[in-house]
This record gives sequence, structure tokens and C-alpha cells, in this order.
Amino acid sequence: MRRRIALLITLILALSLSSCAAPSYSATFYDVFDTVTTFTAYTDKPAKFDEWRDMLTDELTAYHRLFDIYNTYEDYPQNLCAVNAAGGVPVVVDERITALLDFGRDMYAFTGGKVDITMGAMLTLWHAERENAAENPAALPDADVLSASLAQIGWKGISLDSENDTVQLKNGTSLDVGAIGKGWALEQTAQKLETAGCIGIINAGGNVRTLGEKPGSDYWTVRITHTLESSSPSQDIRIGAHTAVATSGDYQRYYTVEGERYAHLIDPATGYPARYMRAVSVVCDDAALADALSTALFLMPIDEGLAFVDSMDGVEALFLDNEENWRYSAGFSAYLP
Amino acid sequence: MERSPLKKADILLIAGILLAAVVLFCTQWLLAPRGETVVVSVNGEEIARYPLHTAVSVTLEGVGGQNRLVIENGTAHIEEADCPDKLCAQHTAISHVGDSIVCLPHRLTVTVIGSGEAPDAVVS
Repeated sequence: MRRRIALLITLILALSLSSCAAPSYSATFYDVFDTVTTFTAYTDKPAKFDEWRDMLTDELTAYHRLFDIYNTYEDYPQNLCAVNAAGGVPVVVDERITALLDFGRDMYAFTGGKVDITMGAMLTLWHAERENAAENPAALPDADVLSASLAQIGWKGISLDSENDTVQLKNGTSLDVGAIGKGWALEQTAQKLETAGCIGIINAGGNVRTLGEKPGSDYWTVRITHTLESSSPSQDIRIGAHTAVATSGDYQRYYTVEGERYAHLIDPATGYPARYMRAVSVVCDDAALADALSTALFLMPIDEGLAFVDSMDGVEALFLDNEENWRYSAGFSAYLP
Repeated sequence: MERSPLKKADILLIAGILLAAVVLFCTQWLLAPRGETVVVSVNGEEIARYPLHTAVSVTLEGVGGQNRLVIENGTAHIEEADCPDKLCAQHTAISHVGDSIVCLPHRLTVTVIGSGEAPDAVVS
């Protein structure tokens, strides 16, 4: 008996010394949502990882093509680009587009119009100037054209028949789902991977979603780093299973006109970039909601945003104000190391 | 006379297992990276790595273009690139484990790795 115990203790010691943790595998790809996506998963079987990775790339690629407003694809002829190009004619769309537009309508109502996917025409004006600035002297969109485009935004411009997956745009309205598309795609993909038993973490260009508990740890660590002109303020946070993080910042996509920074996050109330803060990150259990709320919070004063966040259950936010100080929502300390 | 609970063979076996564990532990410890290293990947495949604490200036071949990586004073940055947006060259120098610079047009990523605890995800 004593002999067996001695052998058992020895084996346990030996195993702990050689530290056998479940191995992790990672993959990086560049083809979806104009960003770099990193996927890490824990498994003993490399073939399982390959299966999950293929599932992830297939899903994200499908959503990318469905939600793309700049290109058409042979395998997804009725994508959002086709909807925008239909010239007011009703278009039958993939049910995944219907689901996204339903979510967009809910978020429009919930955020008082801050999250507005009908801003396509206005965002195109900014997009064109941003692209143009790479080669030519930077300029702002024409003020008259910009204010005319303001009149074309809002849900009055969409007629959505969810039952029959049919969408019709009215009065020159065009869609841009940049504020919610990536988060929505990430959430749907993450749920599919969770059902397949995947344990891991997805980072789709700053939109993070965890799948299960991290093996050998009580939490996943996410480092939020803002790459500003002269400094890179950084904050580590600890999150659990099935948790999402999304960030909106003025340094992400911007261009400069006469020394002034113009970010890609346009306030639907004014037609110009919001300047209330440098960045905001949202933590909650849904990657689509996190994405939508980070956009909404960026477009309102920080104090208003803090009150909005504190009125919701299960949502926390971390702000970086214009003086580069961190501001935390009431329950955010639960995520701090 | 009281019998010994363990035979000589048992003691040898136990010693053997422990020795094997110590050897395994030492090899892992010796092979683990010391200090930080800059890893360059193109299309998700590693193409090169450089120590972060040795100054170097090197031209990297991305997809459809080049980026010049400069490592100096324990930090790494992209000095220049022929990509359309030049976002990689505007990125501040990186030095912490887990930090990275991405050149999306060239599908190129420069990441700092090392023995320190790296976060599971870095968002910026």
C-alpha cells in the first residue's frame, strides 16, 4: 500500500514538473472586414483546431461578403452592395442580412439614433475624402452636399419586411453597417464555435470574443492599447467565458485636414466626427451589442455615456478622455487586475 | 526485524522518474525564449525573427510590397513602406510582449514575443 502511494506521489511530482497544459494553436488571416483576425484555441487534437479555424474563416467570409457595400460577389449576389444599387426597388436578401437589419433597427431605437446604419450616403462622402487624402491635398466634404445627405438618414428611409426577407430603400437612402456588421458577424460565428465545443479567443481587428474558460487560468487577459500621437496608454483587463470587448477610437481610421484630425466615427446629428473623447471600450456578453454600444458611446459626452452604461445590466465601459485620463463605469472594477 | 516498506528496485524506479522529470523541466527551461524577440509574419506564416535588443534595419518582403523594419534601443518600428495607406509606418514603436504592428495591404505583422506573460488578445 505504502509502495503504491509513494509511486503515485512521484508520478504527480513528475507531471507537475514537466507541466503538461493543453496546447494552444493560433491562426491569423487578413481577408475579412478590412482587418487582421487572430484566432487561438486550446485542444489536444490539431485536426480539431483546423476544423474550428475553417469554420471561423468560412463564417466570417460569408458575413463579410453579405455586408460589403463596395463589392459584389458571385456567391452572394444579393448582398448590401446590391441593396444600395437597387435604386429603391425591393430586394430579396439572405436571411442573415434581415437579421442584421433587425438588430440595426433595435440599436437605432435603443441608442436614440446614435447607431444608424442608414448613413451610407454621408459616410461615402467622408470615405471618398479620406481615400483622396492619401494621394492629394486633404479636404473636407463639401458642406452643402454634406448637409443635404443629413436629410437622407434615419429609419424612415428603410422598408424592411422581415417575414419575407425583403428590403427596400427610399429617397436615396443607402446603407453602411460599419458600426455593427463586424460585431454581429463575430457574435454569430462565436456562438457556432461554442456549439462545436471550441475553447479559445477571437480577435477580429480589436473586436474580441472569448469562447469558454481559459484552460489553466481564471480569466482571459485583454490588453487595451491606444496608439496616440505621443503616447500609448494601455490597460489590461481580465474577462471570463463568453465575453466580448469592442473599442471605438479617434485614432483608428482618420485623416488630417489643416492639422485637424477627422476620425471615421461620424455623428448622425451633425454629419461631422464626434470629439467627446479619444476612445471607449465596452465589455459585455454579446459581441454585436459591444460593437454597437462602443459606437453609440463615442458619439455622446462621457458623462452621458457613463449614465447610459450604468443604466444597463451586464454592460461596462472604459473611456479615455481628451486629456488621456481613464474613466470607468460603476462596475468596471470587476475586470481590473 | 522490521521489513523495509520499499524495495531497492522501487527506490531506483522513483529516483528514475524524478530524474526524468528534472531533465525534462531543465530542457524546457533552457529552450524557453530569453528576452524579447520580434517575429515577422506574412499571411500568417512566420518569415523571420530578430532579437529586440540588437539594433538592425532590414527590408521585409510582404505581399505585393516592402516594409523596412528598424529595431533600436529595445523597440521596433516600421521606418518606411510602399503600401498605399502607410498606417504601419505611422504606428508608434513597440516593445512590450504581445504588441504588434500590422500592414494590412502587405498582409504583414510584426509582433513582440518573449518569456513574459503575454495577454491573450491586444486591441488597439
